[in-house]
Amino acid sequence: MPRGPFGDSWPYFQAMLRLIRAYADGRYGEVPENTLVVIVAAIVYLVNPLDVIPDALPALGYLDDATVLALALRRSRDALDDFMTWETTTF
Amino acid sequence: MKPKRTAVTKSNRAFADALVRARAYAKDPKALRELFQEAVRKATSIPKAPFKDLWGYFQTMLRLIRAYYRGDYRNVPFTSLVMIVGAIIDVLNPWDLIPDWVPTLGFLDDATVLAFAVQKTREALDNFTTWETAPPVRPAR
Repeated sequence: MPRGPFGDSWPYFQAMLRLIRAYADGRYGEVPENTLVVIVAAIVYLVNPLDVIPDALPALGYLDDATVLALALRRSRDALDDFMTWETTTF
Repeated sequence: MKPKRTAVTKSNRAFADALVRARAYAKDPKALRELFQEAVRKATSIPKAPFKDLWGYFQTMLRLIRAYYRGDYRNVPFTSLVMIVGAIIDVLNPWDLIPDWVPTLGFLDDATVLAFAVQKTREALDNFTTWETAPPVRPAR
């Protein structure tokens, strides 16, 4: 997946992946359920190659993915920031 | 990649000083560990708003430093490491150009320095987060 279209939100996408892993492992549970749903939905959309603009299209393919990520970030930003604070303060 | 003396380093003496200190820190895992712990302590009291989405990169820098001094992850060019350490020192340093206690402006200045450092080290930081989520090379905790 090219990182360019995601700009500065790339670390937040990676944080979503780590949060899901920590949640699945039972290490981290302090995330509201609706926020979790938003995060999972964003990841599912990003992983799916057949979305509004097919990912294979040069240059444009990931524009919709970046938009979806930006929308999901607006709703999950606080939870992701809390998670990253937890990451640096534990283990 | 050599950190170029661009507008930010020239206009911000504090950041230039931070980079000089960073060079010594980067060679000493113990110093990095102390810097990491100080940064984590201060991170909770730093307002996130001025940093916008760069906050994610700041947190990434902290995790990279931790993985580095622990020896879990060393796949980062020395110049990038110095730039990252310099940015953390600068964000922690209360004596930069616009003092942090000047409401909002203080952290705006830090945000500028952080933006500059991210621009220079983005690839190293992105490689690190990719490593974090890639399970096969992750050592057991």
